[in-house]
Amino acid sequence: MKTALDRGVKEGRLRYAGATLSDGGEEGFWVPAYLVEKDPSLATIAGIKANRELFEHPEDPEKSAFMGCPAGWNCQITAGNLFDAMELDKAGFELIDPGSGAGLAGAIAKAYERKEPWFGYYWAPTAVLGKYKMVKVDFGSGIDEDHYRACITKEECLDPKPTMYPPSPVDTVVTETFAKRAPEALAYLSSRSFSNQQLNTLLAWMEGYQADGEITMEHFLTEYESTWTQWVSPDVAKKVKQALSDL
Amino acid sequence: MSDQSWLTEIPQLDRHQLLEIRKTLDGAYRAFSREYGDNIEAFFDPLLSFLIGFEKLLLGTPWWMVIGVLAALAYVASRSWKLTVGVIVAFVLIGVFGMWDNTMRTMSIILVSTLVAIGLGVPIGIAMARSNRVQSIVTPMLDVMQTMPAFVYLIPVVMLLGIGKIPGVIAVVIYAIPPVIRLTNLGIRLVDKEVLEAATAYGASPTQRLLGVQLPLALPNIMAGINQTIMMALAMVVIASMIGVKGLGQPVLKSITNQYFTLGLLNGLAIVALAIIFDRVTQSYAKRTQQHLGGHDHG
Repeated sequence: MKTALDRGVKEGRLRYAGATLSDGGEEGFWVPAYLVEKDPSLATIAGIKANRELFEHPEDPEKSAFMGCPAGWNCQITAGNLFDAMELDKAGFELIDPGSGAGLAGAIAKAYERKEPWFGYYWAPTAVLGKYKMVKVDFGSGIDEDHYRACITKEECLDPKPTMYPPSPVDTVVTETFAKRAPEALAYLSSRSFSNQQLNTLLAWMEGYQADGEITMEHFLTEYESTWTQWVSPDVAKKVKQALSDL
Repeated sequence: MSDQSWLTEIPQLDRHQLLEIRKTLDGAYRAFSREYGDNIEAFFDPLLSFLIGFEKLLLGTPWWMVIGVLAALAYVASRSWKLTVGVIVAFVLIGVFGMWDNTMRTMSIILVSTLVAIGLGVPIGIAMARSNRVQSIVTPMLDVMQTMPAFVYLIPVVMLLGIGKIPGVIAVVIYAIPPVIRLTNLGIRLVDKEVLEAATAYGASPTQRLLGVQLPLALPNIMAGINQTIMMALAMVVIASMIGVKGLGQPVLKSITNQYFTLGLLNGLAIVALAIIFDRVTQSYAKRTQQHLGGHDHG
C-alpha cells in the first residue's frame, strides 16, 4: 500500500498531509494493570516467564496461554515470530488463536471483568485498551525496526529476534487537487493529530455510550475544546463553538 | 420534534432512553457473568475434559486405524460396499491434502455436539408430542434458536465462558438442535391413532407404547431430524472457529480474510465430505431398521 501511495506522491497526484496518530499505531503484548500493581515484574517478559502458572491455559493444565491474533491477520505472523524469538514455547506457553477480533476482545473483557490474569497481543488505538487499563510488556530488547521489517513481518522468518513493535505511521493523505483547492482545510488536516491515549479514551466512551461517529464528534467538540482549538484558526473556532451551541 | 415528523418518520424512543435500556441490560449481564461465571465454567468441566480426551484420542490414533474403524462402522451400519469404499477414499484424500488433523478435530467436536443435540432433542421432542402446552412454549424458543444470528448469543457465551471448545459446543447445539426436536414431535404426533388404540387395547403401558409403538413408527421422521441436525452442526463449523475452536473452520476463515480461494474450497469440501458420510451412514442404518416394517406391510 505504501508503494502505491508513494508513487502517487512522486507523480504529484497525492500529498501526505500529516500524522493522524501522533504516536503511530501501537502494537504489543499486554497484561492487565491490576496484575502489574500486585507484581511489577510482570511488566517484563522475564517476569511473565517466571510466573507462567498465573496464565492458565483453558484446556491444557500443563501449559500457559498466550493469546495471539486471529488466522489471516498480519499480526498473526508478527506475534508468532516474536513468540518464537522469545522462546515462549520452551517456557511452557502455547499460542492460542482466538478465531476472530470479536473473540479476542471478548476474551480480554471476560478476564478483566473477573480480574483474571491475561497475556496476549493487542493494538491501539482501540476501545478495548481505552476501557481496560493494560500495561505493555517490555521485551528488554528496544525497537529494532530494520529487523522487524526484514524478518518479523515475514512468515518465512527463519531466525526471529526479540524486538518491541515499532510504531506504525498513520497519516492523512489528500489529493493534490484538494490541497490546491482548499488550503485552509489542508492546514487543519495537517495539524489535526490524536495521541493514542486520547483516541483510546474516546473510543471507550463511544463504546460505553454505544454512540456512532456523529454523536462522538459532538461529545469530542464539546468536551475536548482545548485540543481541537489548537488545530484551527480562532475564527473557525468561534464558528464551530457557535454551531455547537445551536445543537 | 416538529408535528410533521411523526407523519413521515415512525416515532422512536429517545436516544437516551434506548441507551439506558441497553446499558441496564448490559450491566445486568456483566454482573451475572461476574457472579455465576466461575460456577457455570465448573459445571461444564466434565464435558470439557471429555472433549479434550476424545480429540486427543482421534489425533493420536494412527491414520490407518481411524480409517479402518470408520470403514468398519460404515459397513456395519449400511452393509453397502460402495459407501465403505467411499468413506475410505474420502478420508485418504483428506489426509493427502494435508487436512487430517483439522478434520479429526472437527469430527471430534461435531460428533460430541451431535450426540448432545440428539440426547437432549429427542426427549424434548417426546415431551412436546405429549402436551400441546409444552409445544406452544417450546416452539417459539426453537424459532429464536434457529434464526437469531449466531454472534448474538456467541458473544455473551464468550464473556461467560471464554473462547474454546465449550462455547463452540454450545453454539453448535443451539443451532443444530431444533430440527431433531421438531421432527421428533412431528413424527410422534403423526403416528396413527388407531395403532395406539390397538396397543392400549392389548394392555400396553405408556412407556411400552412410547418405546414399542410410537418411537419405531416415528423413526423415519426422527431420522430426518437427525440428518438435518448433523448438517446444521457441520454448517456451524466456521462460526465456531470464530471463537477459537480449532478444526476445518479456521483455514476457511483464513481464506476469507486473505482471499485464498483454493484453501477455502478444499477445507469446505472436507466439511461437505464429513457431512455426507455421517448422513449416509445414519440414513442407511435407519433404512435397514425400517426394512422389517416394509416386510410387514406386504405380509
